Amino acid sequence: MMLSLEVTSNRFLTSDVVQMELTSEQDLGRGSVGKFIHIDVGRTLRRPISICEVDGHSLTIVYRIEGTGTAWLSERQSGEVLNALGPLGSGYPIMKSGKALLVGGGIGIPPLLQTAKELASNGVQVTTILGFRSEPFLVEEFATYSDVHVVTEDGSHGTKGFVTDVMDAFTYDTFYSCGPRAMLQAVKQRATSPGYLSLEERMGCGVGACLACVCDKADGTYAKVCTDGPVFESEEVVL
Amino acid sequence: MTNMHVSLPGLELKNPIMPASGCFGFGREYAQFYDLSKLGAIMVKAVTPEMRRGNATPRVAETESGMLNAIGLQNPGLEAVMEHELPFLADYDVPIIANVAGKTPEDYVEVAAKISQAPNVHALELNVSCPNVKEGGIQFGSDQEQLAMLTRAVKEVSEVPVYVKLSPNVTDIVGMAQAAEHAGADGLTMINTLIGMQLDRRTGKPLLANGRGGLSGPAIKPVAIRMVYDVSQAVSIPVIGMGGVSTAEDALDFMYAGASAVAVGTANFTNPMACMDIIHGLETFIHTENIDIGDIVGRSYRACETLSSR
Repeated sequence: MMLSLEVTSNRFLTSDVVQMELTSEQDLGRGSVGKFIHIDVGRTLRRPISICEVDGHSLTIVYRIEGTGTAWLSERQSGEVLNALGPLGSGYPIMKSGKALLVGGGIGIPPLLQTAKELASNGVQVTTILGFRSEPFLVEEFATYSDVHVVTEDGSHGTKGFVTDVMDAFTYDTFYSCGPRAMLQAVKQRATSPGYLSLEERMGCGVGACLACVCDKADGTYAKVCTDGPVFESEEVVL
Repeated sequence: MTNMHVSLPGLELKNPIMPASGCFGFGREYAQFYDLSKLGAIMVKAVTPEMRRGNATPRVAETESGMLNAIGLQNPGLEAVMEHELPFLADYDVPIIANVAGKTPEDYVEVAAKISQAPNVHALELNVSCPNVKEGGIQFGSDQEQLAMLTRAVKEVSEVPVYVKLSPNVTDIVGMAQAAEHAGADGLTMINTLIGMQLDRRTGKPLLANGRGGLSGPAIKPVAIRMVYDVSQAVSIPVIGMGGVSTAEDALDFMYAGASAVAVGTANFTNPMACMDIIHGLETFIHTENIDIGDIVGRSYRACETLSSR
């Protein structure tokens, strides 16, 4: 639960997106796909960052610098040790066969990389749509495990437009999506099958005690994004 | 072994440290980090007669040295708490302080009457200071007459001692404390959060969906210390102090200022082991100084009296 994570590298993928590789004394193994770690950044609150890749004792996170906490994180050097809680939450269930469509937007893209890897290793046929405002990242990594389609809002790379503009071109049994709420809403609406959505919310404790990060469920109750999610079945939540 | 025992109305505390209401749920989440029996007590999340959904998200925002929250007293309601939450805590050897909230005095009376009968509830904490709900909460905590009326009503039905949680969002905290004392409060807990706002730097809009929220964390500690210092000298009932406690030194400051025990809030979020770390730190201090835990309570104003009498 309490993790000591040693930074092994920390490098910019774009002007504000950073990839950090970490090693853990604990074996984080498989089963962490779609989960997150809650990192102490020396401020009042920890920062929840989703796991991009995990393999035994090594862990990769990719985060966007949005404020003081993530800026601090981006300044950490190799050898420094971070305190984190995790892996927290419930992640993506991984299909055993068939066709999967992965739809990621912006900083919602990283947790889909481990998802793609595990789906591909099960023999699932994976198609990925990656949506960016302008500067793409992790595209080559996704290409290792899936057929990748890049969409940018400004048209500088791939197709100009939104992820939902290209979704109709594919057939799939299940979709896996992570990105801004408006994108998740559009993806859920556009999707031709049920799937999974990973939600982002401002968090306090990260362990289910403070009730800061709730979301509405279809049955009229509340779910906690930190412990019941961040991944939910698409029909389970109201966005 | 160092004796950290503190005796308060209704509460025999192994040590003076407890998690503050609203920052610890009903204990389940933190039970995976340590044995809850090691805590002095647990102040559980506010309970209202019916289930409450709370406010829209975002419900938290970070400020320079504190946190703003506007949860809005989300809780599963009295019945569910009595059936599912309190029995879970009964497995631990730790007194529970039940935080009682509502929209009307009748709500408070209903919750207080029932929850005070739970075998492991040793005291009540009247929530008259939550800044994040439209009805109830702070309206009772910012008017001396209403506070006294509510305290009397709850005292009448409660099976256990009643502590009143004071709001710092008033002009005369000493007057509020005395009003609670005269109405029969057995103790005071203080302070709740300070009303604040944080704006989005790009849009200028408040970061919280609710607009305003309650500020907690290190930012409010000096305010809390001043209020505990003033109030504890003006009343003869004990004070449980809180507001920005994250280390044993912070807890010590509150006890110096007159608090008999200390609650830990926001720090639990940054460090799930905060309460344990504070208990150990305080124990080490008491042991090293070779003093009784009671000796440190109110040391600051005793020191000031000595200074002013010279």
